[in-house]
Amino acid sequence: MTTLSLHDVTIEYTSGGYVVRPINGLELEVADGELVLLLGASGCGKTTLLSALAALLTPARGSIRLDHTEITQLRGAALAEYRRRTVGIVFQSFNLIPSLNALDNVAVAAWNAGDSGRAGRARARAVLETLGLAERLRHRPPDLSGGEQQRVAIARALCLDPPLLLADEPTAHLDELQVEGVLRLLRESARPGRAVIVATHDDRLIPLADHVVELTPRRRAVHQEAQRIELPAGSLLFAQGDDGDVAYVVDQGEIHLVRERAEGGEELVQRMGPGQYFGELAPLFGIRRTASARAAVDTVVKTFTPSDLRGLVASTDAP
Amino acid sequence: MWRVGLFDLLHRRRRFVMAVIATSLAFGLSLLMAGTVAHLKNETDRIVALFKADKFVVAAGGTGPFTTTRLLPASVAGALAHTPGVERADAFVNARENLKGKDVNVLGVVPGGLGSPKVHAGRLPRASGEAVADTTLGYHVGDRFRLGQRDFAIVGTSTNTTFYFGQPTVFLPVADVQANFLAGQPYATAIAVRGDLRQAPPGTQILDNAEVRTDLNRPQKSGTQTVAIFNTLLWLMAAGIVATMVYLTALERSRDIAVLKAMGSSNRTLFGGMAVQGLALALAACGVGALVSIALSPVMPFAVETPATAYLEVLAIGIVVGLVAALVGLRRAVHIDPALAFGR
Repeated sequence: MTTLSLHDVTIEYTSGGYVVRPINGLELEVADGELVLLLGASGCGKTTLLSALAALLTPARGSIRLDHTEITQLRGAALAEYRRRTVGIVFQSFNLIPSLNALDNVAVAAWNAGDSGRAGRARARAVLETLGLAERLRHRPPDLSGGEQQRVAIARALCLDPPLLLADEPTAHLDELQVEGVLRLLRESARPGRAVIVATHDDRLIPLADHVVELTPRRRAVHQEAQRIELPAGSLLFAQGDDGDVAYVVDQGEIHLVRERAEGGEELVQRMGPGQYFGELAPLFGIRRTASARAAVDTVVKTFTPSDLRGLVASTDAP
Repeated sequence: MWRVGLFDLLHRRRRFVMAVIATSLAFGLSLLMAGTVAHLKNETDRIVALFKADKFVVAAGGTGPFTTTRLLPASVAGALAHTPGVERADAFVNARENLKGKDVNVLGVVPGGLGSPKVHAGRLPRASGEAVADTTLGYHVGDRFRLGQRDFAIVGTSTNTTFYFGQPTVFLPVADVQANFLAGQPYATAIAVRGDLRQAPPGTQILDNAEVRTDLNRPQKSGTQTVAIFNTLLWLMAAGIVATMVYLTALERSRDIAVLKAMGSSNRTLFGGMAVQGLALALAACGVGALVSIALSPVMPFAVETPATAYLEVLAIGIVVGLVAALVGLRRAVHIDPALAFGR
């Protein structure tokens, strides 16, 4: 049985001196034998989350448990053993070692876990034959098609029969014919004793999954009349990292857009006065708020939807 | 995981071959210099051993028999020969001349006495005007050469009779050298003595073989020290080439290393792969370097007598260089974030 539980997982890093939190308070349960899709646009944190599941980075907060093992607490030999035997990773660019042929690329996983040269190759051969690559064992990555390279990468990830398989954008470099075989492989890999987590921006994969986690806020069509919001001085309109369906224009007062600094505290990014609009990127592009908006004084703002933006821009730009 | 390092090396075989060639030149030159230094020491040992003497008597206040410019009467040899404990005492004269464009040692010795060479071809001089020459001078039996105002006939040749920075030696009867270099005066540079001599005659001093060798090596000391410094620099150069190769490979393999780390490879495992690369490179360079030194030895102006210990020394240095290079590569690998494996 393999059960993966994520509780309040927050991953953050710094970019240009500001804190970026691609994953913020994520809750997730993955049952044994399930294939879970992490769906989202580029930059939404899919790969970052996979890195945390692979124990390659430690979340700023929260818990990641695989059965009874708290992954975030693993150190030293236990961490290395987890990476070797518990988790198999299929990287987006395949990341096969160019100097090794297909057989040895897979055998590396076994050698890494202590198998002898011969035993590692025997294990690798068995996996590759299962994946239909018996005729391509001696070929180096440049001599393999994209689909074959991806299958070798999957074979390497499955070589030690890990209970958790992670795949990052497994269809990114494949044509439609190659995609079919790889998807079948991933689907078949999700079976009792193993959970499979696939990060992708490709929503064609949705039917494949038992469970889909959308990491990008879905753009919802908002049809609402403009609302007038009164904000007392110091109150927060929205926070950095929030989802957002509407943008705002300042009617009276002043809004401060602030960003969290990596070393702590906030930095004033922009002051927005009457007639100026802000917060349009989140609803337009389906990304989270990149700054917090706080009333500097008693302030009144009006909401507007993306569809209103064109008219608003036109009226603002008019001489 | 050493296999991954080895296969990667084969994958980059062109660079590997170029690095081996560059490194092997450093190792080869190092071996040649070690061989040259060894030759300088060996020829000193050989020329002293050639005399089959136990002691050498030279003028007081002078240096050794092959370096001093102070003379003593040749008749001292006759007196010493009758000293109790002395089996034999022969005067000899050491001079320098230029023959066929080469600086040569001219040794005037008693034919068949102490200091007579073992002839390689021909015979020893029996009369005035006859000479034995070292084969490196290029003379053959029957050739003639002119020394001062007089012609000499080569009646024999000798081998391994060079000394003083590899200068070949011409052996003449003592009287001929006295006639040529001392205006016929009956003086000698030194007296070679076989037997037990404890009391130096007045105005002389006694040196044993070890002291004579030390004295003859003295002028070469700064040269051999310079060679030792060059050798160290060559080893550092070799280490630099190997380390650069391993480091650059580690740089280029950043993604591979990140993948291996993501798969749980320890630093020790990664070091193993890099050590294979460093050692393979250094040891291949040692092997090729040895061949280079053997191939170039005949064309070197100095004779080269590379001792077996020099090959072992270079091998040991190669191993150290390879391991140091692996440490340099590992230093890079340690800083590679395994999450890089997820990069595009």
